[in-house]
Amino acid sequence: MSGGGGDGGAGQMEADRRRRVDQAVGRINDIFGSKDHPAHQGLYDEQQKAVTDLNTREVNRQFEQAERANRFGLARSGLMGGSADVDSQAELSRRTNEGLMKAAGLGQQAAADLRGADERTRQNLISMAQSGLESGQAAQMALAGLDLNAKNAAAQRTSATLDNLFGNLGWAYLARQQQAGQRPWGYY
Amino acid sequence: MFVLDDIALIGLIASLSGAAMQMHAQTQAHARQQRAIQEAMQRQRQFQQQAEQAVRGRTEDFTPEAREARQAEQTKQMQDTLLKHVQTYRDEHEAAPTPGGHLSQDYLKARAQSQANQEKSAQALAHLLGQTGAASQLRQQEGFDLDNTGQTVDRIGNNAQGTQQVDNLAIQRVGIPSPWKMLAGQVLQGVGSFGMGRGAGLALNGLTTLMQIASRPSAPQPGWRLKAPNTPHPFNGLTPPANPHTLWSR
Repeated sequence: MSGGGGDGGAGQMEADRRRRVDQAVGRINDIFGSKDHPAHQGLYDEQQKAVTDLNTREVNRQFEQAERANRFGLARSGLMGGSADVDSQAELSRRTNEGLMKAAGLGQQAAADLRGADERTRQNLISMAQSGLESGQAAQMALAGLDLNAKNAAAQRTSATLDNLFGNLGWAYLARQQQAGQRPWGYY
Repeated sequence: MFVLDDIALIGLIASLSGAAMQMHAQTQAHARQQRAIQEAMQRQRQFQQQAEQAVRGRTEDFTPEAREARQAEQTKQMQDTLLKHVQTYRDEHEAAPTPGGHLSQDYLKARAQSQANQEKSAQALAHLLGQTGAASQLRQQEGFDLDNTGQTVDRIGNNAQGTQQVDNLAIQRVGIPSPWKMLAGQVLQGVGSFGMGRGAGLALNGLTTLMQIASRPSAPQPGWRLKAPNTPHPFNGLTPPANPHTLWSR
């Protein structure tokens, strides 16, 4: 910047403006942290674990229900210990693994969403800071934005979002097996 | 005669000095302005370089090799997380109960084979989910990085604009010649003009006086004699008019 002092004080005003912007941006970054070291990493990890656990419990509940129905269906049909047992167990296991991975993915996505919301809030505030937002106001709005994001994230932790993983697997599979068993040649 | 010329000469010198002083002030102002313009351009160039550097750094992140490496790393990380979660679940929960009674070797073999296949299937599924999730998260992160870069460039642009405005004011100010030097030059020119005018007036008076003196008879120089006034011409006998320059002759 021009340092000659022949600018009627405009240089000083510009330096003051820059200092205010830097202070506000610095304050916002202190609250949000940097990209590589976010200040709320613990909150993101907690969100990921909570959403993952919630959906994992749902997977487990559905698996237990499906496995029980399958086991009784096999027992009723006299197919326990046979190839139908092996196949149905494999299908149950495959769907359980898929459900578990979906649950983990949902947890990762929830954490990424929360982090993304914080990042958007941070960038909006920085834009406002460059337009003249004072550092005190910036800090206040940053905390308000974080609070709102945390509340929205908490809403995701209230219920599992996984669909019905097993559907009518037990009934359909067993019905098919039973039909196959009733055929004289034993094949479907 | 000498005194009169001196006043005019001093006036001329003063007038020229005044003009020179004004010209010097204007030249200095012009030089200052040129220097200020060059400095301002240099500052704008530095801002431009800062912006280019910020964009260049971000552009390097978008090279195919860099993106591929980041996506592979992200995929591996997500895949490990998914598989670890499945493994943890298996460790914490009992497997499906094995049917009681006598079980054929074929059943046991098929069951073990099925479980081994499930491991492979889980790994393949984790890899696929890791790939799709990593691609999504990578682009989200790239979007944030682009926003950050855009804000950095905006900030540099704002600073450049503010600096440009300040520099424009400074350039206008330094382009004005020093008022004191200009005033001093004007004063000198005024004094000089007055002196020259005064000297010219005195010189005119002096010339008149000189002519008057020259028209009067004065003391003869050695070897000179006074011509007889209005003596008739020796050939034609006419009497010439009186001539002040021919009062004396050798």
